[in-house]
Amino acid sequence: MGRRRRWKTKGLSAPIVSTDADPVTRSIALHGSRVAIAAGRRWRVVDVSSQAEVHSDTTHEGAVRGIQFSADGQYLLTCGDDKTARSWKTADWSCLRVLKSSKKACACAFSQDGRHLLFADRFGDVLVAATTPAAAAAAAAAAAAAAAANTNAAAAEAEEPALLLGHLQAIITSLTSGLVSSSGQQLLVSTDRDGKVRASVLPADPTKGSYEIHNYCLGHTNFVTCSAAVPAAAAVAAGSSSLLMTGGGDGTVRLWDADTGRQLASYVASEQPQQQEQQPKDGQEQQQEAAADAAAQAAVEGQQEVQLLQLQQGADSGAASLQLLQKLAFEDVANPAAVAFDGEGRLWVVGGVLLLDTESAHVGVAAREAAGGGFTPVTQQLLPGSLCDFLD
Amino acid sequence: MRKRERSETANEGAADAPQSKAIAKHPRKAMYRARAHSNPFNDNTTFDVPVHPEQVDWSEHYPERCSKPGETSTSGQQQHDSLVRFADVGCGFGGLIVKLAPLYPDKLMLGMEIRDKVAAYVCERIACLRREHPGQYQNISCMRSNAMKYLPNYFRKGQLEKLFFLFPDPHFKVANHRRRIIQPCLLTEYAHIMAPGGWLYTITDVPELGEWMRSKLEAHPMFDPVPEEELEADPAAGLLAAASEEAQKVARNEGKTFRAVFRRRESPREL
Repeated sequence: MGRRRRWKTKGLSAPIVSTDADPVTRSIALHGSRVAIAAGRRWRVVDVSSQAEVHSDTTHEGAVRGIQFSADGQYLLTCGDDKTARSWKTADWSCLRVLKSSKKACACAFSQDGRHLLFADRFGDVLVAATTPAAAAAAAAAAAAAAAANTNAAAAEAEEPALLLGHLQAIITSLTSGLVSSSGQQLLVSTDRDGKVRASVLPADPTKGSYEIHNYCLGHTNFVTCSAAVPAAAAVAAGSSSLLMTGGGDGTVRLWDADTGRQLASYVASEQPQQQEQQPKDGQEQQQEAAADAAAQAAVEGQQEVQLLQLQQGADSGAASLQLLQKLAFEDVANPAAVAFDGEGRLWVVGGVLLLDTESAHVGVAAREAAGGGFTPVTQQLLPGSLCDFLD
Repeated sequence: MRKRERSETANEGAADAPQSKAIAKHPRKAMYRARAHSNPFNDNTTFDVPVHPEQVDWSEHYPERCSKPGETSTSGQQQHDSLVRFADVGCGFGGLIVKLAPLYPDKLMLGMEIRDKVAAYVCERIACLRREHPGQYQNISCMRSNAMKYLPNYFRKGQLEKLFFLFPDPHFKVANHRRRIIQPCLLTEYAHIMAPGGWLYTITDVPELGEWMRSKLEAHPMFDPVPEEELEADPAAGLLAAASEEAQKVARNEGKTFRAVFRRRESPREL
């Protein structure tokens, strides 16, 4: 396929071109006592307090690539390879809206107030729509006739979203909302496979589009796979209005001040192999999350242990660093793929076997014994076996 | 084509060897021919892309204006602004930046071109001009890069004062309109690297493209049109239709050109 290219080591590394089918994805989202797990086409919700699986769904006709709760837990958002994003009401798990994209949807998020859903497709477009049909109808009140027909759609039909912004011709890997600039503007962070991390201003009505980039956080030398907002308390302690963490194919987890675009700290989660030719399987991918007490976790593709990092302030203000706290292995969870923290500081991880089209998922939970101490798995104490091992 | 090149250079080399050291021979376009079209979405790893604007060593492009990173600048350099302020995206054979250089001697200008050979031609041309006119043309340079994807890697937020898009590729097919260099998503990026009040210049000889670019710029909340009176007073605007090689070709064929110049606002317009 063309002449052999000489990979250069300076600057950005060569992108890894995947020749296999799309990899297996599993994702996890948490709110209150509810855990949403997506694997293959199926997504489930487990309620920890009632110890029951409250919902299981295969409406998506392709693998589910992203799953998120809104900040208040009233809505759930899923998006997937069937080129749709769907918003769901968590009270009764009814599907509120179905939005379609022209390419497979690979990342999704709610706006901070939960009134709008955002999702990205593989063209690099970030699309936006109101979360509920009622809100959509209210917004379209001017065009009265069409709006009235949509308000009571029991089975929601696929609708067109609006374009929020685009990373030209770059696959977007994650969307993170909730960050705020120093001037009080809501920011949306989008990361892509070109190594770019972009913080854009999210206006009050995002369906009109976002036209202002607040800043870029440039530093990753390979594709970026994940991003997470550091909770406000920890950010303020570090002297910033918004801290962001990202992880990527260069094997690093980086901490940024999203307001200025400055890189504050970096942690090497896995070493790059010496030879530059990388097979897609060996590419380093990471998922990570930040928690209330400034701990973060990173799951690296190919490694069986989840790495837990601690954000530490240096002696002189501004010298933040990420230190390895602990490497944690869950014995029932092979290939940890996605990680999340819950409201009580517990660490959740989902993984499983790497077979195409599988809907199996294994869930693990770990908790800290004491503040500042290490994490230990507590899966058995929290959930019965049927609720943490889902097999096909 | 190859045979002619070899015999020519052999003859010229022998005869002109003593002269070529004294008089800089300008590069000949015939030696640097390339197809007009280049796919901007190709895998672009055959040239280095900096990860961050701080990583770029501008002293390679402007040796008398910029010091190497880490070196303290000499007293002569400190008077000059050491950041690139004008960028010509798709500079082709360099006609515009060569004519702009003497008009704004204090401003650093960069031509960006995705085609390898053409960018090499422009660099050669600038090197010859610098030798022929000592002290001049020190403020222009050319870089081979893909501006559609990597502008934020080279320029900081609010850095550029002028951004030029002269005779861009029209991409006539509707399916290829995504590749046009003036489009809403990219305009947001251009607004990011431009300083408030900076000017974005476009010109084309294709009527439909002219209409497209004007309408996209008008629709984007970060740009306002520049009134005609201000355009007439601007030296750069006057050069658009005459300076670059493509402009001269259009003039030879007596084509009509469509110019659209917009100013980057301080903050977005209310929609």
